[in-house]
Amino acid sequence: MNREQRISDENETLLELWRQARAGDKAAYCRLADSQYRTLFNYATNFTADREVIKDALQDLFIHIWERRQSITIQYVSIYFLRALRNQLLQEFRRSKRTAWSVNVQDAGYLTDFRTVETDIEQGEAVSEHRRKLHQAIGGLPKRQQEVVFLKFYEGLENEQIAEVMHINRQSVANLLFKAISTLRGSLLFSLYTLLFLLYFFVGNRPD
Amino acid sequence: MPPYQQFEPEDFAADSSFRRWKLFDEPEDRKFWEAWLLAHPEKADFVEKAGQLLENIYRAYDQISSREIGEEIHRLSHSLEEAESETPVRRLWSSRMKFAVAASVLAVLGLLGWLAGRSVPENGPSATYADLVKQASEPLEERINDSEKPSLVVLSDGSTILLQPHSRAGFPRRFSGAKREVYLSGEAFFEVAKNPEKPFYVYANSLVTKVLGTSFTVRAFEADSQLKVVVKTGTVSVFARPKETGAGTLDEKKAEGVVLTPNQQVVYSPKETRLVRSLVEKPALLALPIQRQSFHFRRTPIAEVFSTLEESYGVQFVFDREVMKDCYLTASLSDEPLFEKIDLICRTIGAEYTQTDAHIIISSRGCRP
Repeated sequence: MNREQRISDENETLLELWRQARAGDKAAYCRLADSQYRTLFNYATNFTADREVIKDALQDLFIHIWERRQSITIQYVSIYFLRALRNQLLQEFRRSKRTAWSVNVQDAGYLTDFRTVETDIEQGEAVSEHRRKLHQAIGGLPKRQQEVVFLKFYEGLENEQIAEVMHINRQSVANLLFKAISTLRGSLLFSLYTLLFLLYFFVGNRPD
Repeated sequence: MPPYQQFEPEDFAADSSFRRWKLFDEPEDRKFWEAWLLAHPEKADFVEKAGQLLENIYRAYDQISSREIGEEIHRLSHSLEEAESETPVRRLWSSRMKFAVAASVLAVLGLLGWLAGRSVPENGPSATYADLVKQASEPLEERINDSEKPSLVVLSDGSTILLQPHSRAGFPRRFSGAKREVYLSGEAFFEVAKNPEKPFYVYANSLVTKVLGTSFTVRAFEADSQLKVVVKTGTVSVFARPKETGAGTLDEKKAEGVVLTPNQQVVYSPKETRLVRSLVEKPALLALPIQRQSFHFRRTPIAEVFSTLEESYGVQFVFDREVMKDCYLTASLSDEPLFEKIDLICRTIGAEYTQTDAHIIISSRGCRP
Protein backbone atom coordinates (compact mmCIF):
# COMPACT_ATOMS: atom_id res chain seq x y z
CA MET A 1 0.00 0.00 0.00
CA ASN A 2 2.98 2.18 0.39
CA ARG A 3 1.27 4.80 2.45
CA GLU A 4 4.26 5.95 4.42
CA GLN A 5 6.07 6.77 1.26
CA ARG A 6 3.15 8.61 -0.18
CA ILE A 7 2.79 10.76 2.89
CA SER A 8 6.30 12.00 2.49
CA ASP A 9 5.71 12.69 -1.15
CA GLU A 10 4.61 16.22 -0.53
CA ASN A 11 5.46 18.26 -3.54
CA GLU A 12 7.63 20.63 -1.53
CA THR A 13 9.84 17.82 -0.30
CA LEU A 14 10.12 16.50 -3.81
CA LEU A 15 10.94 19.90 -5.23
CA GLU A 16 13.71 20.28 -2.69
CA LEU A 17 15.16 16.96 -3.86
CA TRP A 18 14.84 18.13 -7.42
CA ARG A 19 16.70 21.34 -6.60
CA GLN A 20 19.52 19.30 -5.06
CA ALA A 21 19.52 16.99 -8.04
CA ARG A 22 19.76 19.90 -10.44
CA ALA A 23 22.82 21.06 -8.55
CA GLY A 24 24.39 17.69 -9.31
CA ASP A 25 23.43 15.65 -6.27
CA LYS A 26 22.98 12.12 -7.59
CA ALA A 27 21.85 10.70 -4.27
CA ALA A 28 19.07 13.25 -4.08
CA TYR A 29 18.06 12.34 -7.60
CA CYS A 30 18.01 8.65 -6.70
CA ARG A 31 15.74 9.41 -3.79
CA LEU A 32 13.49 11.41 -6.01
CA ALA A 33 13.39 8.53 -8.48
CA ASP A 34 12.71 6.16 -5.63
CA SER A 35 9.77 8.21 -4.47
CA GLN A 36 8.22 8.23 -7.92
CA TYR A 37 9.07 4.73 -9.01
CA ARG A 38 6.08 2.79 -7.79
CA THR A 39 3.55 5.18 -9.19
CA LEU A 40 5.32 5.43 -12.52
CA PHE A 41 5.73 1.68 -12.83
CA ASN A 42 2.09 1.07 -12.05
CA TYR A 43 1.05 3.81 -14.43
CA ALA A 44 3.07 2.17 -17.17
CA THR A 45 1.17 -1.08 -16.71
CA ASN A 46 -1.67 0.75 -18.43
CA PHE A 47 0.42 0.70 -21.59
CA THR A 48 2.20 -2.62 -21.56
CA ALA A 49 2.17 -5.77 -19.48
CA ASP A 50 5.86 -6.45 -20.06
CA ARG A 51 7.59 -5.65 -16.80
CA GLU A 52 11.09 -5.64 -18.23
CA VAL A 53 10.06 -3.18 -20.90
CA ILE A 54 8.65 -0.92 -18.22
CA LYS A 55 11.80 -1.14 -16.13
CA ASP A 56 14.01 -0.26 -19.07
CA ALA A 57 11.74 2.57 -20.08
CA LEU A 58 11.95 3.98 -16.55
CA GLN A 59 15.73 3.72 -16.50
CA ASP A 60 15.88 5.58 -19.80
CA LEU A 61 13.46 8.17 -18.55
CA PHE A 62 15.36 8.87 -15.35
CA ILE A 63 18.72 9.06 -17.09
CA HIS A 64 17.31 11.28 -19.81
CA ILE A 65 15.85 13.69 -17.30
CA TRP A 66 19.08 13.66 -15.29
CA GLU A 67 21.11 14.56 -18.34
CA ARG A 68 18.77 17.38 -19.26
CA ARG A 69 18.17 18.55 -15.69
CA GLN A 70 19.65 22.00 -16.21
CA SER A 71 17.09 22.88 -18.82
CA ILE A 72 14.08 21.40 -17.06
CA THR A 73 11.73 23.39 -14.88
CA ILE A 74 9.38 21.42 -12.68
CA GLN A 75 6.42 22.81 -10.81
CA TYR A 76 4.61 19.70 -9.81
CA VAL A 77 6.94 16.77 -9.56
CA SER A 78 4.68 13.76 -9.92
CA ILE A 79 2.76 15.29 -12.80
CA TYR A 80 5.96 16.12 -14.59
CA PHE A 81 7.22 12.56 -14.33
CA LEU A 82 3.88 10.99 -15.26
CA ARG A 83 3.66 13.15 -18.30
CA ALA A 84 7.25 12.55 -19.33
CA LEU A 85 6.77 8.82 -18.93
CA ARG A 86 3.62 8.87 -20.99
CA ASN A 87 5.31 10.78 -23.80
CA GLN A 88 8.23 8.42 -23.76
CA LEU A 89 6.07 5.30 -23.80
CA LEU A 90 4.03 6.62 -26.69
CA GLN A 91 7.15 7.51 -28.61
CA GLU A 92 8.66 4.09 -28.05
CA PHE A 93 5.44 2.49 -29.03
CA ARG A 94 5.29 4.38 -32.30
CA ARG A 95 8.89 3.55 -33.08
CA SER A 96 8.77 -0.15 -32.43
CA LYS A 97 6.53 -2.94 -33.47
CA ARG A 98 7.36 -4.88 -30.41
CA THR A 99 4.81 -7.43 -29.39
CA ALA A 100 5.43 -6.34 -25.85
CA TRP A 101 3.05 -3.53 -26.40
CA SER A 102 -0.15 -5.30 -25.73
CA VAL A 103 -2.32 -2.37 -26.56
CA ASN A 104 -2.53 0.27 -29.15
CA VAL A 105 -2.45 3.26 -26.93
CA GLN A 106 -3.76 5.58 -29.56
CA ASP A 107 -6.94 3.65 -30.23
CA ALA A 108 -9.34 3.08 -27.47
CA GLY A 109 -8.94 -0.63 -27.95
CA TYR A 110 -9.98 -3.14 -25.40
CA LEU A 111 -7.47 -4.75 -23.24
CA THR A 112 -8.57 -8.30 -22.78
CA ASP A 113 -5.39 -10.02 -21.77
CA PHE A 114 -4.34 -7.86 -18.90
CA ARG A 115 -2.10 -10.15 -16.99
CA THR A 116 -0.94 -9.28 -13.54
CA VAL A 117 2.39 -10.52 -12.50
CA GLU A 118 3.14 -11.79 -9.09
CA THR A 119 5.34 -9.38 -7.32
CA ASP A 120 5.21 -10.50 -3.78
CA ILE A 121 5.89 -14.17 -3.65
CA GLU A 122 4.90 -14.49 -0.05
CA GLN A 123 1.37 -13.41 -0.81
CA GLY A 124 0.59 -16.65 -2.51
CA GLU A 125 -1.59 -17.60 -5.40
CA ALA A 126 -4.99 -16.93 -3.96
CA VAL A 127 -4.29 -13.25 -3.53
CA SER A 128 -2.73 -13.08 -6.96
CA GLU A 129 -5.82 -14.67 -8.36
CA HIS A 130 -7.89 -12.18 -6.53
CA ARG A 131 -5.73 -9.35 -7.69
CA ARG A 132 -6.06 -10.60 -11.21
CA LYS A 133 -9.80 -10.38 -10.91
CA LEU A 134 -9.57 -6.87 -9.61
CA HIS A 135 -7.33 -5.92 -12.43
CA GLN A 136 -9.67 -7.56 -14.89
CA ALA A 137 -12.45 -5.30 -13.79
CA ILE A 138 -10.27 -2.37 -14.79
CA GLY A 139 -8.66 -4.22 -17.66
CA GLY A 140 -12.06 -4.67 -19.27
CA LEU A 141 -12.27 -0.94 -19.76
CA PRO A 142 -11.14 0.80 -22.90
CA LYS A 143 -7.54 1.85 -22.70
CA ARG A 144 -7.97 5.52 -22.04
CA GLN A 145 -10.61 4.92 -19.43
CA GLN A 146 -8.17 2.71 -17.58
CA GLU A 147 -5.61 5.42 -17.66
CA VAL A 148 -8.06 7.97 -16.31
CA VAL A 149 -9.08 5.60 -13.53
CA PHE A 150 -5.46 5.18 -12.56
CA LEU A 151 -4.70 8.89 -12.51
CA LYS A 152 -7.92 9.74 -10.70
CA PHE A 153 -8.13 7.08 -8.04
CA TYR A 154 -4.63 5.71 -7.68
CA GLU A 155 -2.76 8.95 -8.06
CA GLY A 156 -5.53 11.22 -6.78
CA LEU A 157 -5.15 13.87 -9.47
CA GLU A 158 -7.70 16.55 -10.25
CA ASN A 159 -9.38 16.40 -13.65
CA GLU A 160 -7.37 19.39 -14.75
CA GLN A 161 -4.12 17.67 -13.87
CA ILE A 162 -5.22 14.51 -15.64
CA ALA A 163 -5.95 16.59 -18.71
CA GLU A 164 -2.44 17.96 -18.52
CA VAL A 165 -0.83 14.54 -18.26
CA MET A 166 -2.90 13.03 -21.08
CA HIS A 167 -2.90 16.06 -23.38
CA ILE A 168 -6.66 16.18 -23.63
CA ASN A 169 -9.18 18.71 -22.39
CA ARG A 170 -11.02 18.64 -19.10
CA GLN A 171 -14.33 17.73 -20.63
CA SER A 172 -12.79 14.67 -22.23
CA VAL A 173 -11.43 13.63 -18.85
CA ALA A 174 -14.88 14.02 -17.30
CA ASN A 175 -16.45 11.98 -20.10
CA LEU A 176 -13.91 9.19 -19.84
CA LEU A 177 -14.35 9.05 -16.08
CA PHE A 178 -18.11 8.97 -16.33
CA LYS A 179 -18.02 6.04 -18.73
CA ALA A 180 -15.47 4.16 -16.66
CA ILE A 181 -17.41 4.60 -13.43
CA SER A 182 -20.64 3.51 -15.04
CA THR A 183 -18.99 0.28 -16.12
CA LEU A 184 -17.16 -0.34 -12.89
CA ARG A 185 -20.19 0.14 -10.64
CA GLY A 186 -21.28 -3.14 -9.27
CA SER A 187 -17.94 -4.68 -10.07
CA LEU A 188 -15.63 -6.23 -7.54
CA LEU A 189 -14.00 -2.89 -7.08
CA PHE A 190 -16.92 -1.59 -5.12
CA SER A 191 -17.73 -4.73 -3.25
CA LEU A 192 -17.38 -5.45 0.41
CA TYR A 193 -16.67 -9.09 -0.28
CA THR A 194 -13.24 -8.32 -1.62
CA LEU A 195 -12.19 -6.53 1.49
CA LEU A 196 -13.30 -9.31 3.80
CA PHE A 197 -11.63 -11.83 1.59
CA LEU A 198 -8.36 -9.98 1.65
CA LEU A 199 -8.47 -9.39 5.35
CA TYR A 200 -9.13 -13.04 5.96
CA PHE A 201 -6.34 -14.04 3.67
CA PHE A 202 -3.70 -11.68 4.96
CA VAL A 203 -4.42 -12.34 8.59
CA GLY A 204 -4.61 -16.06 8.03
CA ASN A 205 -1.32 -16.23 6.19
CA ARG A 206 0.98 -14.03 8.16
CA PRO A 207 4.38 -15.69 8.30
CA ASP A 208 4.55 -15.27 12.04
CA MET B 1 -16.77 22.37 1.88
CA PRO B 2 -17.69 20.26 -1.14
CA PRO B 3 -21.33 19.11 -1.32
CA TYR B 4 -20.56 15.78 0.31
CA GLN B 5 -24.21 14.91 0.76
CA GLN B 6 -24.61 14.63 -2.98
CA PHE B 7 -21.45 12.57 -3.37
CA GLU B 8 -21.39 9.16 -4.97
CA PRO B 9 -18.81 6.62 -3.74
CA GLU B 10 -16.43 7.49 -6.56
CA ASP B 11 -16.64 11.16 -5.66
CA PHE B 12 -15.56 10.38 -2.13
CA ALA B 13 -12.75 8.21 -3.43
CA ALA B 14 -11.40 11.12 -5.44
CA ASP B 15 -11.81 13.73 -2.72
CA SER B 16 -8.48 14.84 -1.32
CA SER B 17 -9.58 15.00 2.31
CA PHE B 18 -11.27 11.63 2.08
CA ARG B 19 -8.11 10.14 0.55
CA ARG B 20 -5.93 11.61 3.28
CA TRP B 21 -8.19 9.95 5.81
CA LYS B 22 -8.39 6.57 4.12
CA LEU B 23 -4.88 6.29 2.73
CA PHE B 24 -2.80 8.13 5.28
CA ASP B 25 -5.08 8.24 8.31
CA GLU B 26 -4.34 11.92 8.83
CA PRO B 27 -5.75 12.85 12.26
CA GLU B 28 -7.41 16.05 11.12
CA ASP B 29 -9.21 14.39 8.26
CA ARG B 30 -10.12 11.39 10.34
CA LYS B 31 -11.71 13.68 12.89
CA PHE B 32 -13.67 15.46 10.21
CA TRP B 33 -14.97 12.32 8.57
CA GLU B 34 -15.89 10.60 11.79
CA ALA B 35 -17.92 13.64 12.76
CA TRP B 36 -19.43 13.88 9.31
CA LEU B 37 -20.48 10.25 9.38
CA LEU B 38 -22.17 10.75 12.74
CA ALA B 39 -24.15 13.59 11.24
CA HIS B 40 -24.94 11.65 8.05
CA PRO B 41 -25.36 8.00 9.00
CA GLU B 42 -27.33 7.36 5.82
CA LYS B 43 -24.10 7.93 3.89
CA ALA B 44 -22.18 5.21 5.70
CA ASP B 45 -22.73 2.77 2.89
CA PHE B 46 -21.31 5.11 0.26
CA VAL B 47 -18.34 5.95 2.41
CA GLU B 48 -17.71 2.27 2.95
CA LYS B 49 -17.88 1.62 -0.79
CA ALA B 50 -15.57 4.52 -1.51
CA GLY B 51 -13.03 3.11 0.92
CA GLN B 52 -13.22 -0.26 -0.82
CA LEU B 53 -12.82 1.32 -4.20
CA LEU B 54 -9.62 3.01 -3.09
CA GLU B 55 -8.30 -0.09 -1.41
CA ASN B 56 -9.05 -2.27 -4.39
CA ILE B 57 -7.65 0.15 -6.93
CA TYR B 58 -4.42 0.14 -4.98
CA ARG B 59 -4.35 -3.62 -4.82
CA ALA B 60 -5.18 -4.00 -8.48
CA TYR B 61 -2.51 -1.60 -9.57
CA ASP B 62 0.25 -2.51 -7.20
CA GLN B 63 2.40 -4.44 -9.60
CA ILE B 64 5.88 -4.08 -8.21
CA SER B 65 7.55 -5.03 -4.96
CA SER B 66 9.70 -2.71 -2.91
CA ARG B 67 12.64 -5.01 -3.40
CA GLU B 68 12.38 -4.63 -7.16
CA ILE B 69 12.17 -0.89 -6.83
CA GLY B 70 15.30 -0.96 -4.69
CA GLU B 71 17.11 -2.92 -7.36
CA GLU B 72 16.03 -0.54 -10.06
CA ILE B 73 17.12 2.52 -8.08
CA HIS B 74 20.41 0.81 -7.45
CA ARG B 75 20.79 0.21 -11.16
CA LEU B 76 19.94 3.83 -11.84
CA SER B 77 22.57 5.09 -9.43
CA HIS B 78 25.17 3.02 -11.22
CA SER B 79 24.12 4.35 -14.59
CA LEU B 80 24.40 7.88 -13.27
CA GLU B 81 27.91 7.15 -12.04
CA GLU B 82 28.97 5.75 -15.37
CA ALA B 83 27.43 8.66 -17.16
CA GLU B 84 29.91 11.03 -15.62
CA SER B 85 33.05 9.76 -14.03
CA GLU B 86 34.97 12.68 -12.68
CA THR B 87 37.81 12.51 -10.25
CA PRO B 88 40.28 9.67 -9.86
CA VAL B 89 39.43 9.60 -6.17
CA ARG B 90 36.23 7.90 -7.14
CA ARG B 91 37.96 4.69 -8.06
CA LEU B 92 39.27 4.19 -4.58
CA TRP B 93 35.80 3.67 -3.23
CA SER B 94 35.33 0.29 -4.74
CA SER B 95 38.64 -1.07 -3.57
CA ARG B 96 37.73 -0.22 -0.04
CA MET B 97 35.37 -3.13 0.26
CA LYS B 98 38.14 -5.65 0.62
CA PHE B 99 39.61 -4.08 3.63
CA ALA B 100 38.65 -4.76 7.19
CA VAL B 101 39.23 -1.88 9.46
CA ALA B 102 40.90 -2.80 12.68
CA ALA B 103 41.22 0.53 14.29
CA SER B 104 40.67 0.04 17.95
CA VAL B 105 41.45 3.43 19.21
CA LEU B 106 40.12 6.78 18.37
CA ALA B 107 42.02 9.89 18.81
CA VAL B 108 40.80 13.27 18.10
CA LEU B 109 43.36 15.76 17.29
CA GLY B 110 42.23 19.22 16.77
CA LEU B 111 44.63 21.90 15.95
CA LEU B 112 42.61 24.91 16.58
CA GLY B 113 43.83 28.36 16.00
CA TRP B 114 41.68 30.90 17.66
CA LEU B 115 43.51 34.10 17.13
CA ALA B 116 41.62 35.08 14.08
CA GLY B 117 42.57 38.44 12.73
CA ARG B 118 46.11 38.12 13.90
CA SER B 119 48.45 37.59 11.05
CA VAL B 120 51.12 34.92 11.09
CA PRO B 121 54.37 36.36 12.40
CA GLU B 122 56.89 36.94 9.68
CA ASN B 123 59.51 34.90 11.40
CA GLY B 124 57.07 32.02 11.78
CA PRO B 125 57.57 28.82 9.90
CA SER B 126 56.96 29.00 6.21
CA ALA B 127 55.55 25.51 6.34
CA THR B 128 52.76 26.08 3.91
CA TYR B 129 50.84 23.29 2.36
CA ALA B 130 52.39 24.01 -1.02
CA ASP B 131 55.92 23.69 0.37
CA LEU B 132 55.11 20.44 2.11
CA VAL B 133 53.52 18.93 -0.94
CA LYS B 134 56.56 19.78 -3.05
CA GLN B 135 58.68 17.60 -0.81
CA ALA B 136 56.42 14.60 -1.04
CA SER B 137 58.18 11.48 -2.25
CA GLU B 138 55.20 10.11 -4.17
CA PRO B 139 52.97 11.75 -6.77
CA LEU B 140 49.89 13.08 -5.01
CA GLU B 141 46.22 13.28 -5.67
CA GLU B 142 44.49 16.29 -4.30
CA ARG B 143 41.03 16.96 -3.04
CA ILE B 144 39.85 20.48 -2.36
CA ASN B 145 36.63 21.12 -0.51
CA ASP B 146 35.26 24.48 -1.54
CA SER B 147 31.75 23.68 -0.46
CA GLU B 148 30.09 24.50 2.83
CA LYS B 149 29.77 20.86 3.85
CA PRO B 150 32.30 18.23 4.89
CA SER B 151 33.43 16.01 2.07
CA LEU B 152 34.58 12.43 2.45
CA VAL B 153 37.80 11.19 0.86
CA VAL B 154 38.63 7.50 0.89
CA LEU B 155 42.29 6.54 0.77
CA SER B 156 43.65 3.42 -0.87
CA ASP B 157 44.19 1.65 2.45
CA GLY B 158 40.60 2.27 3.50
CA SER B 159 41.34 5.15 5.80
CA THR B 160 39.06 8.10 5.38
CA ILE B 161 39.46 11.83 5.52
CA LEU B 162 36.42 13.91 6.26
CA LEU B 163 37.54 17.14 4.74
CA GLN B 164 36.00 20.25 6.24
CA PRO B 165 35.01 23.30 4.20
CA HIS B 166 37.81 25.41 2.74
CA SER B 167 40.36 22.69 3.30
CA ARG B 168 42.50 20.60 1.03
CA ALA B 169 44.23 17.28 1.35
CA GLY B 170 47.06 15.74 -0.65
CA PHE B 171 47.60 11.98 -0.66
CA PRO B 172 49.15 9.34 -2.90
CA ARG B 173 46.90 7.17 -4.98
CA ARG B 174 48.50 4.15 -3.34
CA PHE B 175 50.63 4.08 -0.23
CA SER B 176 53.67 2.38 -1.70
CA GLY B 177 56.35 3.41 0.78
CA ALA B 178 57.07 2.39 4.36
CA LYS B 179 54.91 5.22 5.67
CA ARG B 180 51.47 6.46 4.85
CA GLU B 181 51.84 10.20 4.46
CA VAL B 182 49.15 12.74 3.78
CA TYR B 183 49.16 16.52 3.68
CA LEU B 184 46.58 18.89 4.94
CA SER B 185 45.69 22.51 4.81
CA GLY B 186 42.67 23.43 6.87
CA GLU B 187 40.71 20.98 8.94
CA ALA B 188 39.85 17.34 8.58
CA PHE B 189 38.80 14.31 10.56
CA PHE B 190 40.82 11.17 9.87
CA GLU B 191 39.88 7.58 10.45
CA VAL B 192 42.98 5.53 9.95
CA ALA B 193 42.97 1.84 9.18
CA LYS B 194 45.23 0.00 11.58
CA ASN B 195 48.54 -1.10 10.12
CA PRO B 196 51.49 -1.08 12.55
CA GLU B 197 53.91 -1.75 9.74
CA LYS B 198 52.98 1.42 7.97
CA PRO B 199 52.49 4.30 10.36
CA PHE B 200 50.26 7.09 9.23
CA TYR B 201 51.53 10.67 9.20
CA VAL B 202 49.68 13.88 8.72
CA TYR B 203 51.73 16.92 7.79
CA ALA B 204 49.91 20.10 8.51
CA ASN B 205 51.49 23.47 8.89
CA SER B 206 54.37 23.03 11.29
CA LEU B 207 53.04 19.98 13.05
CA VAL B 208 53.49 16.34 12.30
CA THR B 209 51.00 13.88 13.70
CA LYS B 210 51.82 10.20 13.78
CA VAL B 211 49.30 7.46 14.38
CA LEU B 212 49.38 3.75 14.13
CA GLY B 213 45.74 3.14 13.49
CA THR B 214 43.13 5.42 14.85
CA SER B 215 41.10 8.41 13.90
CA PHE B 216 41.64 12.06 14.62
CA THR B 217 41.07 15.55 13.42
CA VAL B 218 43.63 18.04 12.29
CA ARG B 219 42.91 21.69 11.98
CA ALA B 220 45.68 23.78 10.56
CA PHE B 221 44.65 26.73 8.49
CA GLU B 222 47.62 28.64 7.32
CA ALA B 223 46.43 31.89 8.81
CA ASP B 224 46.17 30.41 12.29
CA SER B 225 48.89 31.46 14.65
CA GLN B 226 48.08 29.05 17.44
CA LEU B 227 47.31 25.39 17.06
CA LYS B 228 45.64 22.94 19.33
CA VAL B 229 45.68 19.17 19.36
CA VAL B 230 43.00 17.24 21.19
CA VAL B 231 42.87 13.52 21.72
CA LYS B 232 39.70 11.74 22.66
CA THR B 233 40.85 8.12 22.82
CA GLY B 234 43.89 6.30 21.60
CA THR B 235 47.48 7.38 21.36
CA VAL B 236 48.95 9.90 19.04
CA SER B 237 52.39 11.44 18.77
CA VAL B 238 52.70 15.07 17.83
CA PHE B 239 55.92 16.69 16.74
CA ALA B 240 56.85 20.20 15.98
CA ARG B 241 58.54 20.12 12.67
CA PRO B 242 61.77 22.10 12.59
CA LYS B 243 61.53 24.88 10.07
CA GLU B 244 64.13 23.62 7.70
CA THR B 245 62.99 20.02 7.83
CA GLY B 246 60.97 18.77 4.93
CA ALA B 247 58.12 16.36 5.27
CA GLY B 248 59.25 12.78 5.52
CA THR B 249 62.73 13.60 6.75
CA LEU B 250 61.75 14.17 10.33
CA ASP B 251 64.03 12.48 12.82
CA GLU B 252 61.56 11.41 15.43
CA LYS B 253 64.19 10.60 18.00
CA LYS B 254 65.56 14.09 17.94
CA ALA B 255 62.39 16.03 17.32
CA GLU B 256 60.54 17.49 20.23
CA GLY B 257 57.50 15.26 20.52
CA VAL B 258 54.54 14.83 22.80
CA VAL B 259 52.55 11.68 23.21
CA LEU B 260 48.89 12.31 23.71
CA THR B 261 46.46 9.94 25.32
CA PRO B 262 42.70 10.29 25.74
CA ASN B 263 41.37 13.58 26.97
CA GLN B 264 44.67 15.32 26.60
CA GLN B 265 45.38 18.20 24.36
CA VAL B 266 48.36 20.08 23.24
CA VAL B 267 48.50 23.73 22.41
CA TYR B 268 51.15 24.79 20.03
CA SER B 269 52.27 28.23 19.18
CA PRO B 270 54.64 28.22 16.21
CA LYS B 271 56.17 31.49 17.33
CA GLU B 272 57.43 29.94 20.53
CA THR B 273 57.86 26.49 18.98
CA ARG B 274 56.64 24.97 22.17
CA LEU B 275 54.16 22.19 22.72
CA VAL B 276 52.08 22.55 25.88
CA ARG B 277 50.15 19.54 27.04
CA SER B 278 47.01 19.76 29.17
CA LEU B 279 43.70 18.07 29.79
CA VAL B 280 40.75 18.60 27.53
CA GLU B 281 38.22 20.69 29.34
CA LYS B 282 35.57 21.19 26.78
CA PRO B 283 35.61 18.60 24.09
CA ALA B 284 32.44 20.23 22.86
CA LEU B 285 34.63 22.92 21.40
CA LEU B 286 35.47 20.52 18.66
CA ALA B 287 33.72 21.40 15.50
CA LEU B 288 32.64 18.03 14.17
CA PRO B 289 29.80 16.02 15.66
CA ILE B 290 31.65 12.73 15.23
CA GLN B 291 34.48 13.96 17.38
CA ARG B 292 32.45 14.77 20.37
CA GLN B 293 29.70 12.26 20.33
CA SER B 294 29.25 8.59 20.38
CA PHE B 295 26.22 7.21 18.67
CA HIS B 296 23.76 5.57 20.99
CA PHE B 297 20.74 4.08 19.34
CA ARG B 298 17.96 2.51 21.28
CA ARG B 299 15.25 0.99 19.13
CA THR B 300 15.86 3.79 16.70
CA PRO B 301 14.16 3.61 13.31
CA ILE B 302 16.78 2.83 10.72
CA ALA B 303 15.98 5.95 8.70
CA GLU B 304 16.94 8.02 11.71
CA VAL B 305 20.17 6.06 12.18
CA PHE B 306 21.15 6.72 8.61
CA SER B 307 20.31 10.37 8.78
CA THR B 308 22.47 10.73 11.89
CA LEU B 309 25.41 9.21 10.06
CA GLU B 310 24.64 11.31 7.01
CA GLU B 311 24.85 14.43 9.07
CA SER B 312 28.07 13.47 10.78
CA TYR B 313 30.00 12.13 7.85
CA GLY B 314 28.58 14.11 4.98
CA VAL B 315 27.70 10.96 3.08
CA GLN B 316 24.31 9.91 1.86
CA PHE B 317 22.42 6.68 2.12
CA VAL B 318 20.15 5.32 -0.53
CA PHE B 319 17.67 2.84 0.88
CA ASP B 320 14.07 1.86 0.59
CA ARG B 321 12.12 3.46 3.40
CA GLU B 322 9.11 1.34 2.70
CA VAL B 323 10.97 -1.96 2.90
CA MET B 324 12.99 -0.93 5.92
CA LYS B 325 10.24 0.73 7.87
CA ASP B 326 10.25 -2.04 10.47
CA CYS B 327 14.01 -2.02 10.95
CA TYR B 328 15.24 -0.66 14.25
CA LEU B 329 18.70 -0.46 15.69
CA THR B 330 19.89 -0.77 19.25
CA ALA B 331 23.63 -0.22 19.41
CA SER B 332 26.39 2.00 20.67
CA LEU B 333 28.86 3.09 18.06
CA SER B 334 31.84 5.24 18.78
CA ASP B 335 35.35 4.31 17.77
CA GLU B 336 34.67 2.40 14.62
CA PRO B 337 35.52 4.02 11.34
CA LEU B 338 32.51 4.85 9.23
CA PHE B 339 32.52 1.73 7.12
CA GLU B 340 32.85 -0.49 10.11
CA LYS B 341 29.86 1.24 11.62
CA ILE B 342 27.86 0.64 8.47
CA ASP B 343 29.01 -2.95 8.38
CA LEU B 344 27.91 -3.47 11.97
CA ILE B 345 24.54 -1.91 11.33
CA CYS B 346 23.98 -3.98 8.22
CA ARG B 347 24.86 -7.20 9.98
CA THR B 348 22.52 -6.35 12.82
CA ILE B 349 19.54 -5.82 10.56
CA GLY B 350 20.47 -8.39 7.94
CA ALA B 351 21.18 -5.95 5.15
CA GLU B 352 24.01 -5.40 2.74
CA TYR B 353 25.68 -2.28 1.52
CA THR B 354 27.57 -1.10 -1.50
CA GLN B 355 29.20 2.21 -2.16
CA THR B 356 29.30 4.54 -5.01
CA ASP B 357 31.05 7.85 -5.03
CA ALA B 358 28.48 9.99 -3.37
CA HIS B 359 26.39 7.55 -1.45
CA ILE B 360 26.03 4.27 0.27
CA ILE B 361 23.33 2.01 -1.02
CA ILE B 362 21.67 -0.30 1.45
CA SER B 363 19.99 -3.42 0.14
CA SER B 364 17.54 -4.96 2.51
CA ARG B 365 14.56 -7.21 2.40
CA GLY B 366 13.17 -5.48 5.41
CA CYS B 367 12.76 -6.54 8.99
CA ARG B 368 9.89 -8.34 10.62
CA PRO B 369 7.90 -6.20 12.98
